[in-house]
This record gives sequence, structure tokens and C-alpha cells, in this order.
Amino acid sequence: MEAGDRLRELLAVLFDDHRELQSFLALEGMRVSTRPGGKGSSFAAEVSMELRRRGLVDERLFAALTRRFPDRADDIADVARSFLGGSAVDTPAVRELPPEYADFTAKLNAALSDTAVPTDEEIALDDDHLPWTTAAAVLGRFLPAKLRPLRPTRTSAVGMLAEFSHTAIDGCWILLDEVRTQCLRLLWETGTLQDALAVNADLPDAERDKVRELLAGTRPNLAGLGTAELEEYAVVTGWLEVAGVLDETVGTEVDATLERRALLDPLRALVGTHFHGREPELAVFDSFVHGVADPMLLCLRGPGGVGKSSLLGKVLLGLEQAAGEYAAVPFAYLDFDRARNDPRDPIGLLRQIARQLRLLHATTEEARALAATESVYWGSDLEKASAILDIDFDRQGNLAAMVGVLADRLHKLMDTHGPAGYRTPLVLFLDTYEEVQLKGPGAVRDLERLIGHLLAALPDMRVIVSGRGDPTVFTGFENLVLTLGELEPPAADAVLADLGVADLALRTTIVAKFGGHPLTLRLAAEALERTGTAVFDDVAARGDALAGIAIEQVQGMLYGRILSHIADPEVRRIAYPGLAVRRITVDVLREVLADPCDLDPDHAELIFDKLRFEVSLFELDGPDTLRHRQDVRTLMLRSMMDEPALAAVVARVHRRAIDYYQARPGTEDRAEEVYHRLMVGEDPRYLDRVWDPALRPLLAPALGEPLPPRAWTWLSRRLGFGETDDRAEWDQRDWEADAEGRAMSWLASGDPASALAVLAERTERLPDTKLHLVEVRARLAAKDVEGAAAALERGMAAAAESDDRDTQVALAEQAVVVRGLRGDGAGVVSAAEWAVRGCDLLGDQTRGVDVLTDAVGILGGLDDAGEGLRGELASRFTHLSRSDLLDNVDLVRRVLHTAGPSDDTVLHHAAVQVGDQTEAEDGVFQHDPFAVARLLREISPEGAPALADLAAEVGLSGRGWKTEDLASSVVRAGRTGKAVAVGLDWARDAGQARRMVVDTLVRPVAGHDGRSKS
Amino acid sequence: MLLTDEQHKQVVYLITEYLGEGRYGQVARDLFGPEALRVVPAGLNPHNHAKWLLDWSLALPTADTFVNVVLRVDAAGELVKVHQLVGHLRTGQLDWTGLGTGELWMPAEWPFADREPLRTHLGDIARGDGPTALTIDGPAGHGKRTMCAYIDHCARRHGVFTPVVEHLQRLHDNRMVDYLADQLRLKLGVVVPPAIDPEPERRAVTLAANLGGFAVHSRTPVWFVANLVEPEQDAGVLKFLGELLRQVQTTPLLAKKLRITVLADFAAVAMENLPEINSRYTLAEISEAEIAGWLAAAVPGKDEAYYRHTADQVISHVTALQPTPRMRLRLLAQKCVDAHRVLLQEA
Repeated sequence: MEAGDRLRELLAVLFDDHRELQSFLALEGMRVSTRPGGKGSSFAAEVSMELRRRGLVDERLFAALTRRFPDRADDIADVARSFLGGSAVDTPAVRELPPEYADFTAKLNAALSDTAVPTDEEIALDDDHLPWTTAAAVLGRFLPAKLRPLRPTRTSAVGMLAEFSHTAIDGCWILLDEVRTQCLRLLWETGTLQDALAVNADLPDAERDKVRELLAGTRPNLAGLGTAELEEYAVVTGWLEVAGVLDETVGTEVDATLERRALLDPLRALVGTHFHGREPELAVFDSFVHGVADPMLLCLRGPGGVGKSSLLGKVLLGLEQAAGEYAAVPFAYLDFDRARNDPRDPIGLLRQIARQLRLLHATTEEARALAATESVYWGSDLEKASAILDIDFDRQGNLAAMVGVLADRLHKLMDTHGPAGYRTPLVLFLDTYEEVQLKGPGAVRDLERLIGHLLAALPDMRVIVSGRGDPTVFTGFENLVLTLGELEPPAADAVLADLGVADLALRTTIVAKFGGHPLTLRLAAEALERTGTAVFDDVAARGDALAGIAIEQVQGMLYGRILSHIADPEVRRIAYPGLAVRRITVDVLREVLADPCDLDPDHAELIFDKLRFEVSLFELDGPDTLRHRQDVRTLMLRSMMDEPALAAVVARVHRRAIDYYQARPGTEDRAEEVYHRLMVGEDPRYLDRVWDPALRPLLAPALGEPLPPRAWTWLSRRLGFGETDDRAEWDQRDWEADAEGRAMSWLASGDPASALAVLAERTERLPDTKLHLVEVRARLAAKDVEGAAAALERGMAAAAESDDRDTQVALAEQAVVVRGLRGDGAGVVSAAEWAVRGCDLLGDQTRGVDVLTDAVGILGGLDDAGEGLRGELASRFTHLSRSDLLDNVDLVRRVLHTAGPSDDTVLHHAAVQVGDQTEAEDGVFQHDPFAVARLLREISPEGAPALADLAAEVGLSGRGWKTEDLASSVVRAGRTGKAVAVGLDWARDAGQARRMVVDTLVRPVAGHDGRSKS
Repeated sequence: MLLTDEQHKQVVYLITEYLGEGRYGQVARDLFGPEALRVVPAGLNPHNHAKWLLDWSLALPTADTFVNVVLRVDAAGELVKVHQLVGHLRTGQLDWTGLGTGELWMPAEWPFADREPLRTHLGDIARGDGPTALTIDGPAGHGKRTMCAYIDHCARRHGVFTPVVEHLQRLHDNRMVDYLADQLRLKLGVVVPPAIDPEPERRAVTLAANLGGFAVHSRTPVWFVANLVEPEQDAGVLKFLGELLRQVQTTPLLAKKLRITVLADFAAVAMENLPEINSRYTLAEISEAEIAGWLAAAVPGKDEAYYRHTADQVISHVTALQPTPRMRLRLLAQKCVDAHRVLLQEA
């Protein structure tokens, strides 16, 4: 196996997260021109290739890896040997022939020894090719007939370059990278690079021009460049660095700029080319960002479609632009719409901030210190980070200290790189704040706590928060609230002009009649484009008559005009009244909309395809799903409700949607069912039976829609939005739903005291309450075992009375934990048996396995073998189907960690059923060829035929493969499960093999929702 | 596969130069005949126009048009090996309908070692059965390009699918997904709406979804073979392939019109919607067993020990030279040729 493949495997195994690998390289000062874009293995492969290309795979790299991952020292040393070993190449043994064949053997050996096969690079630099390859080496692309050779030659470009070029899609040829590197190196070393640049000077070529600029010492103004041109610089600096022509400064800066752009590109798209006006707001931002205005927090608010994100994007892009032009203003952007930005993980947020600051200062000596700061937040390489940052980590650990590490760097940055007179050490942007609010008060408190620490350590920093939630302010701090309204007429006029409304008089009319709301302007421009001026004049005339009406009605009227000019009647009917549904799939078209909207259900697939092209009405929400655009949908729902003729149709749509979704099991289906029931004004109390906190993010957008008042109140209380001052007056069911959400949020934030305080707001409970269960969890989290036991008793009594089997099972699950903590082994067994019986009655087999896993784990901690439960667990687990296992990967991991070390059957069942690569993103087993190799080396000699079968199955034939080759092939072929099964079946020591599988190949268990897992 | 990839590229380029601005005029008519100009799709850029015409001439039942094209676009004889090929075609030394070996080092009937299960699957696909999506995994130097040539040959021989083989590597060109969608659209013979998304990844998904939606109406089913020569690809390419894989696996009607085979070093390429594990194949390194088998077929009638020993020697010499992945196959081929010669001398 090639050494480069081994390095790629090693990096992929060591670094789960590509950002950690990137941070490691920065910390070690190893430059690779690779930006993370794909999943881990892909980035590891690119890094491995770049490290080799740049000659960075050396003892220093392996020493650094060993320091960071001491427990993988053997694997690292193994790979290091394949690069640095110094040992002779391990050539396969050759079978001996009888002496009478000696003559043949000698001839064969001589013939094979004589063969010389030149490499591409050797051919490319020979006398025939060199004039052409060196001429092409400085060009991004070329047409052979136009190319002039570096020196006179009788050969032709077409003949000499075809072998060493790709063809671009426009027919131009592009020289292979490896050949280019050799040519550039040769040109540089022989002092003929300028000749190569000159020989085809008349051919237009952006890359060649950039090479010339860089060689002349010109440094590009990166901030002023478009992304395409930056990409060209990235390509050219890559060529020149690898050829040894240019140092790394420009390339590093180019890559960092591109990576920051990737972060800000969604905002760039929002700002677009038609951002105008907002001068007063921009002035507020400017003085705020530059530390002139107090206070420290600015909250941006405004109705949907008014342009909050565009304004935020404008400010951020301005800072980004300034960062490239002169001394950088430190800023970081955290969008809570991205899963990696978890408000409950302050260290993760600090890591993000440090990473962005490192990219901002990529070419300064501070980049390494910021990489060390990232390392602190990754919790790795602490010794080295400590030395670089000159701090003692014995004193670190709490959040304030962690914030202090970043604050120290920022003060240093201000001293050495800050703009003159500038006193803001950091501007922190927090976007999509409503996602934090949806996670409940615990998440909000966690974020506020981090902000508090940051402000304490960096009193002059500024925080800008934007979101749709209300109120978007931080408690405990003085907030500057900036509310966005309509655009001023000149700005609105300019926006319309940019949107393609060329006629000044028409623009003036539109602004005068309809105002300057950005969504209105967009609808007006779109209506104009679809309908033409004459028809729009009619709308404008009506607008005159309607002057002063609500903005939503104006927008609705404009949207109506757009709809009326959709040529396809089927699309028109889906748009209106079909927008009563939020999600559109082929099935929804067929089962829900076809009848009320008078569509042919057999055309559902065709209609769906047509809808995909109506980008002003629908947006893609996954490959099979479209959504009505929420901004236009919200306003059209209001308009639709005012049309009595449509009421019956809309009611039928809702009813059919309820029938459709209630028969389906998924969380998204449940959210749609609840949504439609709310829209038809059903008694929301019915919905308490199906309410689940997991529905919150899916139903949050519905709060902006015209729900019936009772439905709005019901939903807002379950989402944690809206007025809460009168919470004491709420009916018991609303209060319990709200209290459950708040208490669980506090528990997820590790604050059981606050959770218990929520529960203590009222003492009475509904018969089917879930709050006893929440209380048990809260008391367990607070280490109050006796309190938990008491709450458990109350809960059991209530659940028995209400005959609520689901809650009974949930309480029985908690009883297992409570009795375990009391050291009551027999109680654990009886509670588990009770819970399992309940699961059987509910028909939930996997839940039964879940509770048994808990119980067996707890009994293990009590030194109670719990043989009965252990056998029951193994029996039930091995009866779960492949699809059950695939749907519950984390449970499978837990079972294996709990029962695997002592039970072959569970490991074997998992290995055979879901051990091989599955459609799941992360399976049960690690894709770790080093661990697989260790397992396979422990196979007894009797297992050789099984190993040979495995080798054949993964494409290895013959006898020449080594165990590490087999392990690599097993992993890349996705056959880890098969290898585990073989390893267990033929192990020399079965117990050791089981432990090896559990310890090194089964993925760790993920925690969830504060629920303790032993 | 009459021409190697390089020769194909050379001839396409010379056709492009020869036609110049006269792609639809007398020059083109004289070169390819009026039928070709009637069927060539409109709107192609000069390069794709020339490529389409060359592929069209290579698919004709006789070599006449191809020979005429080469003789006229390369009157100076720059492409020496292509002219040799043309000479062999004119004298009947080469069968127009046979499989040319090009750079392949294995004989036509034994193109790439013992990959029987994979070849069975490929044969099933070529006949219109088999999996809708297939992946073939192998690092550089394990024979992915050879396998593409085999698929191309196999598809042409059975005639159920028109092969579209693309060797993909990063060209730093954001239009690559548009190019791929165009190639498929042309071969499928369907009209597909363009994508308006400016962002390449999003546009890739839309283009693939559009293709999937409209390919069901195609009358010329296509077997799309995407060989990822390097893990790094232009923006959107992996998304495009991933979405196409999803489409063919989830839409039964589409499977009759479009098959997809992706070849890559999947350890370094992260792609979505890969087929189920039984439709993923791994190309292992060519071992001594395959070489011994090839030698036995090429020089039959010797003691088995000869072949095994010779194969061992070949592998041993190649390993000792520590070739790069890209060089390994070339070196192996040369050593096999040398060993073959020694064996022949022993006969």
C-alpha cells in the first residue's frame, strides 16, 4: 500500500473534525493550500497530498502528531516508518524454480532489470517536449495552435502536449500540475522564467498575468478582488510555492480571505447588488462598531422581509473589506442557524471566534498564537499551546479563565495590529438569535453568561445580535435597540432601479403609492416584469384608490398580479390556494392538493417538476420537497382568509392534510399535522396528546401566520415566545407544557436548580402530567436521590390513575436509575422488568432493549452480574431487525459498550447486521484501519481460510498482501463488520478480542437531552 | 475504443481548428457529410461541436468518414500514431468494429485481470439489467481508466445505452457542472430547462434534478461513466454526481434511461447517495495471480511454474522500484511486455 494512503488514513482517523486538523497545521506552522469543503476523509486526503507535494512529511510532522495523540503513538510510528523508515523496500519473496530453469531465470532477471520507464516529468522535460511544456507552464490554459514554443523546435504543440494536458470545457488545454511544477522549477533555476512569460505575451491569460505581478513583487489588494479572481491567485500561488519560486505569504493570505468569504457568502448573496439607503442605521452601526456609542450591545429588530439580514451583511462585508485594506478590525460572526454554533457550548463558540480571528490575521505571527488558543479550546496539545501563549494551564478550566485566554490575544492584537485610535478589541455578531430562544431559557442564559464573561474581560468589545424573535435583547445588559422600518424614497427608488424598473416615473409612482418596504419593492418589480407596464399601470391606479391601506394588502394585491400571470393553470392553483400547505412533495400534490385544487393526481410528478422552476414562489427544501416562500406565503394567507369564496377550498386542503399527515410517523409529519389542526381552529387541547418539544423549531414560523387566536396562544406558550407576564393566570395545561419546556431547557444546560424552580411555580398537577417525570430527572441531576424517589412515587400513582402507559414506562425507566443509585440491585431488576413489560404492551421493542441496557450497566456498577437481565438483553437485542438497528444506531453502540465485553452474540449480531458500511452517516463501528489490523493480527492460524475469503471479498487476491493492506481494503470497501465478525470468530483469545472491538472499534455513545446514560 | 484519450483529444482539436468559423458551412459538409450537419445539436461551443462530430463518425458502420477526417484535418501528418492507425484501417490490418487496445496493456479478451464479478455486473448493465448505480473504488494506478475503456466498449457492443465517459479533474472552472449536464442532455436527446441558481453547489443539484426529471422521456438511454481522476473537483461536481445517483436509485422509470457508474478513490472522495454496498466494487492492485494468468493466456503450453515464477519476478521488480501510483501501472505493463518477450523466446 502506498505511503500516502497510509498518511491519509492516519489523518482521517486522528482528526474527526477538519477544523481541528486545520488548527493543528496552523499551530505547527505547516502551510497547506487546502480549504475545508467536504467531509473529514476528503479533507484529510487533500491535506495528505499537499503535505507530500510540499515536502512536509517529515519527522517533525510525526513528532507533532505523536505529541497531540500520544495514545495513537504506535499507529503514527507505523506510518512514519513507511515514509522515513530507512529500511529496504519490503519486496515480495520470489518462488524458486528447479535448477534446470536457471538459464531462463537469469534471462528474465536481466530483461526485467534492464527496463527503464521514464516518468511523465522526465518525458515532459526532454528535448522534444521542453520547448512546449515550459511555454505552457506559465499559462492557465492555451490553444495549441496559438502557443509559441520557448525555443525553436520541429515538433508540434498538438503532438507534444496532448499527453500532459487536460481539456477544459471550452476546448482549451491545461497543463498537468506535476509537469507544470517541474517546468516552473526548471525555468526558475535556469533564470528563464521571464522568457517563458514573454514568449506568449500576446495571448490573454489571467494566471500568467498574476505570475508576472507576483514575480515583480506586486502584492494584490485582496479585499477589492472578486472571488473568481481570488481563486486565480490561489491557483497561481500554489504553483509558485510548490515550485519554490514564491514564499508562502501571499498564498496564506489568499486562502484565509477565501475561507472567510465562504463564511460570509450567504450574507453577500443577501446584500446583492441592490442594497441602498439605510444611511442612518449604517451610521449607528459605524459609531457602535468603532466604540464611539454606548452601550455594548446592539439589538437589530424588525418585521420579516424588512432587510435585517441585508443590513447585517452590509456591515459585515464592510468590515471584511476593511480587513483586507488596512489594519484589521477584529470581528467574528456566529450564525445560530448552523448546528456547530451551539449556545450551550461556550467553549465551542470561543473556538469559532478564535478560528475566525486566526483567518483574519493569517499572515501575522499572531496566527500561530490564535491557533494555540484554538488548541486550548479543542483541549489538545495543551503543553505546546501553553508554551506559545506563555500561560499556565493549571490555572485554567473555568469559563472565565477560558475567555481570558482569548482576551489576552485580543489585547495583544490591539497593541500590535489595531488601527490607530481604535479601541474596540472585538465586534461579535450573533445572527439568527431566535434559534437560541427556541432552545429555551437555559440556552439563552448560557449564551448570556458567555457574553457576560467576554464583556468583563473585554469591556470595550461590541456585540450585535439579530433575530426574528421578540424581544431580541439580552437581559442583564444595557441594550441599544435598532428597529428597521421602510426605506427612504431615494433608496427605494434606487432599489427598484437595480431590480430592473427602468422608468423613473413608474418608480416614483410605485414608491409614492406603495411605500418603501423591501418586500413590497421586490414584489412590485416582479409583477412588473411578469405583467408588463400596461397591466401594472392598472395596479398602480388601484393603488391610488387604496392609498393608506395596510401594507400587507398592498403586497397581497401585487402578489395577486404575479399569480394571475402564471401561464400554467396547474402551477397557479398550487400557488393559490395551494399555499395553505407549507411543504409540497409529489405525494402531497397527489393526496392533499389534487382534489381541492382541481388537479389531475396522475400529473403530480410533472407538476412538481414545473414548480421547481417557479423560484419566486417556491424554494427547495431538500431534493424531494418544496416550500412556499415564507414571506409571500404569510401575506397571502391573510389575503386568502378575506376571500369567502376560497374558504371552503382552503378548509378542504387543511382537512386532507390532517388526514395525510396523521397517518405518518415522522417528527416533520407530526409538525404538519399540528399546524393544519391549528389553522382550522381545532380545540388545541387535543394537540397536547401529540405535542413534543421536538416540534418547536418546525412550528416556530407558524407564529407569524394568521392563526386563530386560541391556536396562536396555545402555540406561543409551547414555543416559549410571546407575553409571559401573565403566566400565573394561564390554565394548568398551558402552564405545564411551558414549564416542561423551560425545565428541560435548564436541565440541558446543566442547571437542575433552575429546573426545579420552574416546577415549583405551581404545586398542582394534571392527572396525565409529565412534570413528575421531569422532576425525577431534575432531582437526579441535582443528586437528590431521595427527592427523586419521592417524585417517582407521586408520578407512578398519577400515571396509574390516568392509565397513561407511556408515562408509566418512562417512570419505570427512571426507577431503574433511582434504585441503582440507592444500591438496590433487586429493585433495579424489578423496575427494568416492569418497564420492559410496558414496552412490550406499547409494542416498542427497541425501548425495551434501551431500558435493559441501562439496567445491566447499573447492575455492573453495583457488582451485580445481573445474569437474568443480561441474557434477556442479549436475546432481545439479537432479535432486533437490521432496520431497527439502523434507526437506533446510538442504542446499538450503548448495548455493545455495556454487554459487548462479556457477550459475543451482541457484537456478532451488530457486526453482521450493521457493521458494514450503511446508508447512515456515522455507523456503529469506526472506519479505523489501524484498529481493524490489530484485531485481524490476533486471529489464530485456523482462521487463515476465513481471512483469505475476507481478502478475496475486498478485492485482494494472491498471497502477497499484508494484514495492514487487508485492513485498509476492508475499511475502504465498507466491510468493517465482516472483519469484526471474522476477528471474533477466529480470535486466539475471545475475551481480549471482544474488549479490543468494544474499546477501539465501536464508536462512543452520544449523550442526549440531559438524560443520564451509564 | 479506437483512439486513446490523447489521440481523441488531438483529433478533436485539429477538427476544431480546421472548421474554424465554418462549423455549419461547406467545409464541415465536405468533411462529415450533410447527414452529420443535420443531426448535430445546436448551441455547442466549437470544441464540443467538433467532439460530437468525431464521436458521430466513430460510431458509423464504416471507417470511411473517420479516415477522410484524419487525412484532411492533419494533412501535415502531425499525429503520427493516428496516421498509422488510419493506414492499418485502409489496408484492413485493423478491424473497424474491434476493440483497439490503445494504451491498455492487456489483450482485448483479458482487459484487466480477474475482475469477473465486476465484469458480470457491467455486462448486466450493458444489456439493460443490473444495478442502476454502481461505484468502482480504486486509488490512482489501479486501473480505473482501463475500466472506463472496457465499459465504453461493452456499452457500444450491446447497444442498449450510449456511453458518456468523462474523466474529471479540477480545472478551476465553475461551469463544469453545466458542461456535464450538457453532455448528458445531448446524448439523452432531451430538452432540459437551465438552472438559474448562481451558487455552483445549488446549481449542481438543480441541474441534476432537472436532468433526472426529463431523462425519463429520452429515446436514447445513456450510461454515464464519471471517472474522478483526482479527489479534488470543481465546485458542484460531487453534488451533481451525488444528486444523479440519488435520482437513478429512487426513480424506477429513470433507471431505464440513465445508468451511472462513478469511479474514484472513494477513500479520498466524500460523495452522497452512494449505492448499497453490493453495488460498490473495489479495484485491488494487480497481483501475481492475474499476471500469471495473462502470461498463460498469451504464451500457452508451458509448465505452470514458469508463469508463477515470472509473475513473481515482475511484481518483485516493480515493488523494488517504488513507483508512484500513477507510474505503477505503466511500469507493470512494461515489465509484463518484457517478461512476455522472454517467455516467447523460450518457446
